[in-house]
Amino acid sequence: MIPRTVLDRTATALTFAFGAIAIAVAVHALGRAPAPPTLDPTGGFADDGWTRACRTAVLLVTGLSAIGLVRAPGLRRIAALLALMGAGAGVVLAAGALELPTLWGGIALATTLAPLAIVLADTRRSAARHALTSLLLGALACGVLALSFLALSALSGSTHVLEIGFQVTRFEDSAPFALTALRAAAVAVAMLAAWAPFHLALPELWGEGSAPLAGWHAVVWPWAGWSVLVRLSGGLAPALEEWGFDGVSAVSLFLVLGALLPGAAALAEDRLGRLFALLGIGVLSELLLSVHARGLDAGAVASGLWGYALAWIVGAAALAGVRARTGDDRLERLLGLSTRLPRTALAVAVAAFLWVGLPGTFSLAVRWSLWQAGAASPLVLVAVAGGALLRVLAVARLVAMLYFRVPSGTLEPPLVPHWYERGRWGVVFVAALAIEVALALGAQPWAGRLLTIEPVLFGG
Amino acid sequence: MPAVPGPWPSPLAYVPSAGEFDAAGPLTLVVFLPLLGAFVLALGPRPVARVLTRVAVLWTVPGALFLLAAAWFGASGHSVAGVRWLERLPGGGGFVLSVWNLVPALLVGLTAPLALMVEEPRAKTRGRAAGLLALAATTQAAILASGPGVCVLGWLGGAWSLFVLLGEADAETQGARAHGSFVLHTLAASCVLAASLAPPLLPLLALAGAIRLGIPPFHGALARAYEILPTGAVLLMTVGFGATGLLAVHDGLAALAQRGNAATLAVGTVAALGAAWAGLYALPQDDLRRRLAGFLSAQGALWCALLALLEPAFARPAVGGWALVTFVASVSVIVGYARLWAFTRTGDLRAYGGLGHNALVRSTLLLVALASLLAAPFLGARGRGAMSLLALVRTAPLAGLAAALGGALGCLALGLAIYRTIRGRAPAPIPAPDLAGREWAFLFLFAVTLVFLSSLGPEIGGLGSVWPVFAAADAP
Repeated sequence: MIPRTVLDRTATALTFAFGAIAIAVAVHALGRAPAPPTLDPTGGFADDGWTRACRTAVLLVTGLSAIGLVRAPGLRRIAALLALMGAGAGVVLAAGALELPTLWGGIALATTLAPLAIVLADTRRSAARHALTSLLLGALACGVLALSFLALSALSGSTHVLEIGFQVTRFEDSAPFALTALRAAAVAVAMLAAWAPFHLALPELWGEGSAPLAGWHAVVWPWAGWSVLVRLSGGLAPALEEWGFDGVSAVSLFLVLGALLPGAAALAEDRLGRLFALLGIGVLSELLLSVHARGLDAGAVASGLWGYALAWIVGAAALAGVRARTGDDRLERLLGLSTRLPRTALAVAVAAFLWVGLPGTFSLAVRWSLWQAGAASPLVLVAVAGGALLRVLAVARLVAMLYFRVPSGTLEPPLVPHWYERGRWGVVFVAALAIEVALALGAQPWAGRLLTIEPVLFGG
Repeated sequence: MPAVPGPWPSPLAYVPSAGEFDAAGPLTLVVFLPLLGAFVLALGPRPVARVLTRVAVLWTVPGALFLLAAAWFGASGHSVAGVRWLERLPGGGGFVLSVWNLVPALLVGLTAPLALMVEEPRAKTRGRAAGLLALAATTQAAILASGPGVCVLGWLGGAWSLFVLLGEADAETQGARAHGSFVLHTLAASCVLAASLAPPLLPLLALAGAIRLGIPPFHGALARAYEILPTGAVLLMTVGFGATGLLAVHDGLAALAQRGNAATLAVGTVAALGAAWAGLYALPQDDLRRRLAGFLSAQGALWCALLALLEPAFARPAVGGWALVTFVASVSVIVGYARLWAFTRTGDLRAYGGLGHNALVRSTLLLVALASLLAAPFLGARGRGAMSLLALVRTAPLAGLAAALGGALGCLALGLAIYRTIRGRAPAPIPAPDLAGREWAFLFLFAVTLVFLSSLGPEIGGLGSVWPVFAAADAP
């Protein structure tokens, strides 16, 4: 029988080593010279700009999550890591898939294994609830996607997205059915990418869960959702052109609701994690500005998701620090935090500012590009600006609590975690923030690779 | 819209091509040095905080000196190309200094060190010094921005700086009174953001400017902010927010005018009635700072009415010159009162009196400043301010009379406050009430600046020529 401590240490070493390697591979991939897109011999997979961007992001986030897995002991930690790796592989599979069954299979794998990772890696009672929520949401999205894909393949007589784009118009009256299937797929994507009104369950999952696991879900699931949309819109481009489909109008409701609802909800939030989740969901919804009349700008989505991921990493690190020092993340316990824990309060404030736009950071730069290139109507743009206003007010409320309020006299003294635990989230916070600034200043070749992805395959 | 960038006439109209920009240099320094100072103050170690706070003014001096030099050497050129300085930032965006924004940039640049040196009712803290530096930097960013991105950030940064200053000053109620002003100024920044996203939303700039100028119904928020804020922040708000607000109102109304006269007529009439309301609001205030805010609200509404209801080519020079004199004279009023505020720690008028007996020079400064405020329509733009008001009364009697009444009531409110300060006996004797050495230095520098500004050629934006230059450049 192997002693438990040995198992724990071995698991720690393994997960840490995997995390470091995954991060190194991701950074190396970002620094590589651009290459033209390629198709595999069967034509079922594309290795293009979107696939590479998604693969790099999943590697980076899975590596960071592996380093952050501290709650599970021994073998459970390794099992959780394997589940996360499997789920990440599913997302990467979906990102490059041009066949509908593979595309669906990748999403199904990601939405099944990721909840398993939650229960394996987090031993708290609330983790089971979060896993169930995640599983149900994923199952619902997969079910809707399955119906949508079945309808599209039946109408076109093919399962390859590039063929569907040409063949789905062979019947004159196929347009309403195909567009309904496409809208259903968009609803499934909305569940994965947290577009309102499907954002309601996610603040609990992303905001209350263990920071690395919640962060993995918050970053990787939107990549999965957008992968479906990128592949479908790319493949169906000829059909959308023929039908005169207006993508901007189709997503405007999601955009307006996504900009306003999370911001309004954030104003009334009483937990820091959920507040960050709602702020993040609001920012994520702005990516819908990259949808154009006949498709979407995959490069804008990818760079937007990169900026979102960096902001989320900074926020998750700050959140982990707050939880470790104060015990939980209820806002009432954070009153006057700046006088008790000035550095922790500053980290929280900086993370919150990232969600509303901190000048000189990559996440703001990509959001600004997105706003400027958006083809939405003025009314929708007013809603986007209104959502930004609501999120600024929510952050101002948080800053006032941290800096302008007198701390409650009955608070317990702050916890003092081990130096290596503090170092873990401290290093991640500082590194992610430094990367944000360096990329905003145009550090090459990484900034170039994140701002402009390599070409993406599309039909027509 | 003009063909040359610069927020004085137009923040969102035109972005120069990339080839026209130089690398980051002095303009970046004007904005980022105070910002760096704010960070150093906020994050610096506690033992050196007091020293850092005392020398905080040094972060603003290089920028002020550069702007003075630019004005000086630019003035010698006596042409539109005399000053045209474009710089790009490494992360995108850039700054521009041209004849169109030199005067407001110079005013804010000179006011920034003053704001950090002026006497305050409460002990100076590093948080407040950092907030003042950030407010100066973000206001300059909004004025010098070469494109919408930096302009929006400047406006939003101004709202955040105000939030920090208000929250820090309002410690008694745990910063609760900071929220109202912050919400309004963030709304203003959101309007600028929305206007930058789509041309049909450009009229929202008028709303943004109305908030910064405190035009009714936003006059109450301005008065509350003036009541709470430290004196230095009041100085920066008066000059910086006034200049950027007026600019935004002008641009918003110009965009609105393209959709027909009905909209501008409605806005102008509402603004004129608002001027009367703000004047009536200012008169019964028993707090000196609230009276000053009420006066500025009435003036802002009056300028808005003139810009909306008169021909732009006629109204722009009139309002520009008038506003410039008003800002300069208001700074003199605030500096004249700073020591009294610092001693009494309240703006309540009952705490003032008898200044004429024991501080003759300070009383004279206040009277000269008041006279400048009253004469502003005649001094600025070679009397075009007064002429434009007469024209407004003639073309739209109701709106014109309401606007004139508002302006007069605002002046009366401020004049009565100054009169009450000077007459009678002091309720409590103020130690060394007359001008101190530092204030004499300010007086000297400000007089030199005024003479300098008035001596500038029309291209550089002398006291009477900011807007005529703009109008000339705008012509085909």
